[in-house]
Amino acid sequence: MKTLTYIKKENLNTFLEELNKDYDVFLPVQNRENGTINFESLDTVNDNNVVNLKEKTRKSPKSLFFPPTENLFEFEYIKDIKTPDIMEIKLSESEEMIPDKINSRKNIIFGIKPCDVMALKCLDLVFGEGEKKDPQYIMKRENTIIISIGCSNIFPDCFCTSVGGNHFYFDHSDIGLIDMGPNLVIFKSSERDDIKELLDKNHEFFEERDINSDEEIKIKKIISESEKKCSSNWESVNAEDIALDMERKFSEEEMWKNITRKCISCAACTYVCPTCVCFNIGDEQSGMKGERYKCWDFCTNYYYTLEASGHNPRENIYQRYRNKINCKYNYFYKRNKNLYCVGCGRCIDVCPVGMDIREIVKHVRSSQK
Amino acid sequence: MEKFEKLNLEEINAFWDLQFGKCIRCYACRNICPLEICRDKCIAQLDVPHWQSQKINSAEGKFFQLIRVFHLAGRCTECGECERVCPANIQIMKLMKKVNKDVLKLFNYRPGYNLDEKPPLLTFKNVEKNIKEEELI
Repeated sequence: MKTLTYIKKENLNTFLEELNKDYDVFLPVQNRENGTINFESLDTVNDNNVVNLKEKTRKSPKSLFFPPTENLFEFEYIKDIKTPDIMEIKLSESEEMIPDKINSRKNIIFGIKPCDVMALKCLDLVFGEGEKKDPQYIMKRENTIIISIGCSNIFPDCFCTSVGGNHFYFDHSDIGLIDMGPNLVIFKSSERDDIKELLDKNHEFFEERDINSDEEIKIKKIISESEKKCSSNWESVNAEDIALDMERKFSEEEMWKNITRKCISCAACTYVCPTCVCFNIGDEQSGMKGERYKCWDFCTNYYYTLEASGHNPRENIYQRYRNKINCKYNYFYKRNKNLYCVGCGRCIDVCPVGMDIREIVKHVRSSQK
Repeated sequence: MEKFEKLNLEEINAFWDLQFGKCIRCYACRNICPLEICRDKCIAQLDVPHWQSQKINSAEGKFFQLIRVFHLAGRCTECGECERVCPANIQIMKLMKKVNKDVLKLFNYRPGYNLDEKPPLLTFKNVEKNIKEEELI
């Protein structure tokens, strides 16, 4: 690094307001009353809702790309009284989705942490690749600029380094910032035209000068300390080993029953997880009109594998939880050579009964029959 | 509670719309509740009969939470677990306390205090002592 380009934190608010004129800016906002932090639009910031870039958000930013509910299309049954035995179906684009298509403003997601960016990489593998791609996801993804801030402080439930991540993973971000106290330093910035345009247009907020040796050392130190593993229980980062262990221990039913006894089959962990994207498709009809929607589903649910016959292959919670763990640490790895967990720790934070996925994976791997 | 009850209908409605708008239908509240043994048979998740959609939005969240309150009226012992586990920090206990207050006023009954007492909403009396039917119409 030869030059240091940075923005003073005291100018951050004005910078974001300026960005909000041309883009739709989303960032972590904390509600003063109940303390929860979630990604919201900059427009919601007021006396009661303040920006908080330090702590983790409760829910992941996946809602911006994979919303909890989305209409796929609308349908209408049309009958003509002259030919009552013929029924036509008219399909049309959902009115809800049209604003997305005609909205020419790009989105900016600011202050997203490296674990969540790694999760977007996982989501790209699900929705953005292969023969069938999700057009709504791709549209949102291509329309969003990612400005990430590396993690200078980590939390007790973080374990990104155990699953191949690190606190300054900027590969899939458009702009990567490092917190250096009073300033946010641009560590990485994409060569894409729209990113250059963003920085050029707002150059008055940034200062640039030659980096001095002290600062160079400081940055190197911040990054090398990120090599230090999070406080977690895993020694090996080898994903292949984890997947093989999961496979070997699959049929140890008593073990699985013991470690999943606490689970109450709710969706808390699934819904806050940045990589979980199982969904349901349903139709809502009123009279002759209706819409087909996609909404979040959760695999710990009893209804997840309930078949129309009444048979349920995963009738018990241990079978569903075993599936969840294998999906994240085995099946997805086999298919994509990528673990489906980014170590953000939100599931550990939110679980009503204190299930700790690190403990569970460790227990499964080290269990003796 | 008194301060809350003094608010007018619009303010109360606005408050609850905001609260229920946060509901993501994770069912943590329902599944942790010691009284809700219906988790694998909940009407909120049935397609047939179709009481509600699986969509996750403010209207559906409101419907689910209100059904839940009525389902627990006269049974909730105010353990507070529902509010503790809610990932969206919805103030569920406010609603439960209000319902229990109404149950106390109407039936002179507090859930869980006396094992010999029959829960009023699980029994049927032709004429209830504190409900003047003429006044309801």
